[in-house]
Amino acid sequence: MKRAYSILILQIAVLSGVFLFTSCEDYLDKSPEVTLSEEDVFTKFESFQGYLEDIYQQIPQIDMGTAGGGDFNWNYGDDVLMGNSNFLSPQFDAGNLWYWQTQGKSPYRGNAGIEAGNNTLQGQRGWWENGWLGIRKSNIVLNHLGDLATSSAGTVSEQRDLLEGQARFLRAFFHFEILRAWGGIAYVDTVFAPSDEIRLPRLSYYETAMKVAEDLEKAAQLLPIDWENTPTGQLSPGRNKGRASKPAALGYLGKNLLYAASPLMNGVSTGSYTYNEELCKKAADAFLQVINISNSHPDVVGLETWENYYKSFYTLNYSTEIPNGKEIIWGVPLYFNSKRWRYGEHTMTYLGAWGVYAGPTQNYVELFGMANGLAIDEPDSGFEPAAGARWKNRDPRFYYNILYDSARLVLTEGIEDTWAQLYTGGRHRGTSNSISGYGHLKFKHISCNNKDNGWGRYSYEVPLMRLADIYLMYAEAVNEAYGPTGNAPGGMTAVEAVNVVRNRATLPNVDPRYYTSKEKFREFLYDERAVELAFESHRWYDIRRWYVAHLPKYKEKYIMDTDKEHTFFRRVLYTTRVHEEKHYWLPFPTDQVSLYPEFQQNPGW
Amino acid sequence: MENYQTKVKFKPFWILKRITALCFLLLYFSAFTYSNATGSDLFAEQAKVVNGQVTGENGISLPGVNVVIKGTTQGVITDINGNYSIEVPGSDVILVYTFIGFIKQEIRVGSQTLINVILHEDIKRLEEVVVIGYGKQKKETMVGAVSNVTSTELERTGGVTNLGQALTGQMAGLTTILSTGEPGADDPTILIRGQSTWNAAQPLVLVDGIERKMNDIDVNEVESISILKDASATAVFGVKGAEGVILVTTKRGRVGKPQLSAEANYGVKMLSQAPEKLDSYEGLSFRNKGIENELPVSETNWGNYVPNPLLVRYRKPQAPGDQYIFPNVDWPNEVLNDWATTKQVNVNINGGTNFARYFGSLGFVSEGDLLKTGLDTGKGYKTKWGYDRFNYRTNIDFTLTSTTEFTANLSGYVGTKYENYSTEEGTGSAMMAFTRISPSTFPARFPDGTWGYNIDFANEGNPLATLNNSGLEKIIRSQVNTDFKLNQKLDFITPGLSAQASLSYDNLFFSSGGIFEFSNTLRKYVDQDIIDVLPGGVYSEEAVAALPPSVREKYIIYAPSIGSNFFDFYTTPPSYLAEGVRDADYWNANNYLNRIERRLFYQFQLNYERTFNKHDLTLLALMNREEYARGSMFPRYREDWVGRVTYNYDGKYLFETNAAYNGSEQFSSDYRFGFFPSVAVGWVASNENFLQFDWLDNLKFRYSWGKVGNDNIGAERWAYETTWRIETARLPLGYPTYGYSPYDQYVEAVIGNPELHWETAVKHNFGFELGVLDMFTLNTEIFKDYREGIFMNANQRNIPIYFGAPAVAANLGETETTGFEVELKFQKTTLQGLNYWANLAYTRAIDEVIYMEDPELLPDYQKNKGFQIDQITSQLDAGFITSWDDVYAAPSLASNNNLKLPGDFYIVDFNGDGKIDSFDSAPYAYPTRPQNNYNLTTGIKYKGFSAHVQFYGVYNVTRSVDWTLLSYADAPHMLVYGFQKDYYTIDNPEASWRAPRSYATNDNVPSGSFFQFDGSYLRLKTAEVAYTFINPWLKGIGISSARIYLNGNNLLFWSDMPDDREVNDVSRGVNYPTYKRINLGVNVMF
Repeated sequence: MKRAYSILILQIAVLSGVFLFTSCEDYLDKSPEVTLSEEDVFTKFESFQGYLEDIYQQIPQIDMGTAGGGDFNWNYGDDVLMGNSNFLSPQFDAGNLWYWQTQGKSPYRGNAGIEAGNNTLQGQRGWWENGWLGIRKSNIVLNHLGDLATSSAGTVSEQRDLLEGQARFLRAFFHFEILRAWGGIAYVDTVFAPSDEIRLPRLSYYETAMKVAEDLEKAAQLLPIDWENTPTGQLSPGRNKGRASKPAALGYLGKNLLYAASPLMNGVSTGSYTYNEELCKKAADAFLQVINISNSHPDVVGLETWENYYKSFYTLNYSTEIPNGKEIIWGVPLYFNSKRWRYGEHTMTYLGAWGVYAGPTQNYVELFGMANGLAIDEPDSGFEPAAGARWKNRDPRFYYNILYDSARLVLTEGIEDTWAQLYTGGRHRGTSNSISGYGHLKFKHISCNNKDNGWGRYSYEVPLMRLADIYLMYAEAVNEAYGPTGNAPGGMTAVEAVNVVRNRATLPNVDPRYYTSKEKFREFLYDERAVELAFESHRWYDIRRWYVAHLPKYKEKYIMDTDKEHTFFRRVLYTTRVHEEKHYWLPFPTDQVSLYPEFQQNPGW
Repeated sequence: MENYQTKVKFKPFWILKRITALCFLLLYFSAFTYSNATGSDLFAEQAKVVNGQVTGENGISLPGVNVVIKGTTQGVITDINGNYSIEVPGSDVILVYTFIGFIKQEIRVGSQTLINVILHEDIKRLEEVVVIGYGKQKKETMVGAVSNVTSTELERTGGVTNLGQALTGQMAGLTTILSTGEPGADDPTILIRGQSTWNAAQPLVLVDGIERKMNDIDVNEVESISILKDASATAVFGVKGAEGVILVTTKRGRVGKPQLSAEANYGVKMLSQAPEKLDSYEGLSFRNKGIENELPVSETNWGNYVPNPLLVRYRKPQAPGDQYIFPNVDWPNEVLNDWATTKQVNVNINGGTNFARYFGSLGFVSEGDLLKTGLDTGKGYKTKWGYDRFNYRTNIDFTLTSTTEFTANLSGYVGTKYENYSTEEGTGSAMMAFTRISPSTFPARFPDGTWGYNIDFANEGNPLATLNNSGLEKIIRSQVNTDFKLNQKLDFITPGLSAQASLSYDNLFFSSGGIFEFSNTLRKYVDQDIIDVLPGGVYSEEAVAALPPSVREKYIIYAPSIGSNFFDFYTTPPSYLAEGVRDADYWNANNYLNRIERRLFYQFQLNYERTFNKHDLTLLALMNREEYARGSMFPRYREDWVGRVTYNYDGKYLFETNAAYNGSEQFSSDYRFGFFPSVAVGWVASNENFLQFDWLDNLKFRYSWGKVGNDNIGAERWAYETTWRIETARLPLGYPTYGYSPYDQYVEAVIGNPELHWETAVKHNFGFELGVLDMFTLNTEIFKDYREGIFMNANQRNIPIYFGAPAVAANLGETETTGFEVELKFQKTTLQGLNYWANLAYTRAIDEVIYMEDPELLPDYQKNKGFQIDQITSQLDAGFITSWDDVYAAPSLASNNNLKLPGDFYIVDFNGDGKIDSFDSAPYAYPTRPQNNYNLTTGIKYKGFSAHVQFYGVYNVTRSVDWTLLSYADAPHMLVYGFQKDYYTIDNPEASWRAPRSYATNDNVPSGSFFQFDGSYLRLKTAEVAYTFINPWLKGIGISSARIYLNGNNLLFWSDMPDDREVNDVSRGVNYPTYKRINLGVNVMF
């Protein structure tokens, strides 16, 4: 009996053992339903494009600081002065370029991007981290092009071209942004495996730029002028603005070549700190293609009228209108901007911001000429140096951009803030308002303040590339390659290109005295860029690439000293930028250049 | 003479006689119940019968004890109740009592005819059977490095309610690090032989063979705890065994009549040690001094100078209301009661027949709390901190047939923890009392019930107010464990073969509910300048009320502000939150993902055990699987295959090999299963014929080598595979209206590393055991632990940023740990029955990083390589800057060099580049883990009396806390600690702290290595005096023994640290104060 009992138990044990052990191989396998696999992502265009669109999310909003509110500044050349030393502008003025690593105040350092998948829309993104993240993702896209198997509109090969074009454009774009701030860098065109030993040497500026150009040329071939007109674009009708396009690829191709041709970059490549004419010709050619597209597709790419100039920078109805019009060739994808009114460089403390304000410098304001097209220092310009009169009859863009003392500040009548009090000791003067005596208006409608309460529907954006910039860069390239009045093959002259931009601002053509020589017109162009592209985050890059940032003219920052009655006017030196040779490039983070010898720190840091 | 040969029967007269005699004895010897006086030899040569009972120290009778007349082979064995009866030839005879696991005891018979004997446990325990992984082994022939602790040792630890704390200082090789005394959350970190990885280094804990948390087990339920240290002991756990293994075995029933045991104890606990803070007068004087010193660099601080007439009012109130306007609040004292109580009750029963044996236990613990909660706030609820726990267990063994055994265990606990609902507020602010708020900032509470605050630091909470106004949360943690095991002997197949199948199912639930409130308080600030308008400058509620409202409002400011009358005051009322399921790891890891834990485990095992002549052979083969899940997660799976062969020849030559083949779902199929072998050999030299000496009890050498692993790499699940995720948002691309891309955005959720695998530890262990004179035993272990493939997570890796994603975790690290343990035991029992004993244990374990992916170009002293894991680094100071010459001559500070003053630390320019920056930070002292620990336990026992003390200490440990950073970062009320009192002046150049600074620059000047405290300490960990009554008269009322004890835990503490805490962090959650305890209890056996 007992023996039988034991045998029974043994049998049960063995049987249950056999039963349970059979599935042994799979017991520790991951359940297939747990997560999405690579196949789920890259075989269909919809999900493939969905993966790619996350790369767009890596583009920093340069005016956007910590989550929720733009609280850093994006102009750090000789253009503005800020009273709060926690920002890039005053730190860069002091020569402390390490400050770019300060999270929350710098568009170079992100806090959200580098964590894969953690790209919350409101998180701060920075060129350094998010650039590399975007590059890696672009490479993943390029590696998986062959996996695309089905298309719901158009052909697989067309969609593959669109994916490749976007990925190449974005890869080049991020490299270019890193390149122009830090200098030559490894061009990453592979996806590293987790266990790879990664020790890429830095390329020279020229080598990197040529890699960028290669990608952009290819992207320009693959991308459409207008997504709306492609079968794939019809999958998302009316929701294609903002995708990488042929004009964007060409525009950045030209910009990249012009940068490479510029004195600083040409200097680090060849030792000659002058323009490289060959590269200028190539750049001019790329810009010309954009200009030709704008002529053939004026609804897709074109200059806004002077009346609608502001629409490239802000709109007053964020729910139906965002600043991403036909003049904008490339920008950040926009999010809910309803909250983006209050902080940042451009709202004064009394009007609802919290003590961060960028005041244009006196020297920068002086770059704005007269309505007759002449610079203010021309004897016949009609400029009146008397304090109050000096703001009369100026270039229309002066009034669009610059807030000066006694100008209208808010629409509400009869309150303390109705008129700007920017004179020395005035209400709107001081470290938490303007320290220079000027304000800037480019991105701000007059009603955007807590007095008029116009900011509820307001939305602004700093464009990354717009058509006016293309014209000016074209002019610069053509001037260097062919002279101010020389024709680029198949295109207009440098002067003609500048006239397009100035005429739009209701200014007359460039006065002949400014294009008597290449050098003369170069000077003119430099000032014209400052005026047309004021406060759009170009100035710091421009004075660096022109290799002029170390000159006193670009180092000395002046403020205005006047009294309430404008009885006197004094130009007062506020600070002199510290700009030695090393300040032409941002320093790499120490932890990166400690990794291996070939990852060299920029000289002087 | 009566004939006592027959068994004792119920004889009223006999009992009466004995009771009378005993009463006399009690009168004479008060405490000692029976003497073994040998004086009377009247009946010297007369043969007689001696009888009595043999019991253990706890009064439980011992059956099967050998009672032998010394020098003869004549003897008897005690019966099931421990009774014996032996005929002796005369009075001049010595009886020898021997029993396995107990010290041999000899007693002279003399005139006695009733000899009740208490046997003491043998701490050598050579014959003992020790629980090891998946089985048991005799200590004598064991080759692995295993330490064990018995229930007796655990129960005397002085009223700690946490098993982890009870283990502290009990054996060599074990280090515990305690960071908090929070009731219900005071689990120490346990390290076995130091730490060889920077990942989860906690040992594997198995309770009755199943992976379970041990901290909430009632100590009374525990039979023994084994600590497995070397590879031969842990290899069977393979991929889980690298950090060592703790095996907790619970008590089981044994054949005999029901033995009921009841225990109750009552303890008080007090704050162990808090950092000393200067009172208002001293603190403000210190700051005044700082302002004076700092005038050359910061003139504006002069405004914060407190002039002497005001200063003295902080020290000595000049008027009755001065404490409200010149506060001098001893905050720790304000938020803590002087003592709190702990109550424990346990009832357990043990017994059984040949068919069924049972052990049942019910326990209740109530841990009170020192925090001063429960003040009347008029809100209809009172806050509370504390922990109540109810434990239950039944362990039943059935012998179904002569070859079949069935075991069923049911156990668990229900723990109820009380705390503030908004915990962050609750403990966080309570701890501010120690490290943040200065005594002069504001008074705790005004007589009218409003709470103090300071308008200049309006965000700074009032610790007492937050403790009493942050809600009450009740968290219930409930665990139910069930085990079933069937063991079948298979001798009919081949003798010695048996098979075992077991199944366990555990469930853990969390739920919580209570009153939620976020510190809504009416706070009042009284401006010091009010003394100018009060009559005589005397503050009182009446005087204030008499002021005109316009004047009053100027000096008295409420928050939230109130209108012209108090009725306008409004705060959000507390809200009631119904009980709901709470996150599983809530008390531990802040894991907010999951709410319920369940674990299913099953195992099949084959055992073979046979002796052929002098050959002992055992074989083991087993397989088990585990399924574990929290909440609704996909369950985690494990699978183990284990084998073991042990062989010994004649008890002299020992050989053992173990192997585990483990599967872990953490890794890709290529790396899923790992093979972990071990081999051990031993030589019991003392069993050799040529080493048979009387004085030599034991001489044994053993060596083991093996591989074990660690798959607890802390990575995300399935980190070997890249997985993808859909983002919630889409790209906005429309114009002119907002329109979103129709495509869902996909991102990589995890970038997989298909080559992920376990960490591998290769462990060597050499053991040497010596026992001499039946008194001394020495156990020495020398070990080396080489670890490779140590997992480095994204934050630890150093890769170029252009990888373009967070670094992917990989197995890269390498470490080596070496050390040794020495355990020396001594015991001696005199013929009179006096037993005295001592244990001394010492452990040293030093790890070294061999590889940790350090940036190649960093200077060597800033790499991890070559130093211990988590080596502390610090700037170094070389005395003080003593003159203005020095100020200019000293290396310049990379930042704030202009603040440098005489009296500052002179910081060493370590890399000689002329400036002081982060590259001057060099390895300093030790990590936070001690390299060495030691414990000494010594005690005496005499009859029913016992006493012992246990010391536990560590050294070579550094604790790094910048205390000044913890205090509130604003003038004029900065907190000054006692350890800053010895500050530099021209007359005190040997000071330990630099010359005072005002707060404005305090943090901007370097402090060198000042805040690297020597974390060495020595504690009087436990001390106990106890007395066990084993009296017939007690038996008459049904009590077989009663034990009364007074013990204490953490009674004395010697250290240079400012507080009693063993970790660096003093932020929220871990900065609850630690305790000392005194405990009085009674244990009654029926």
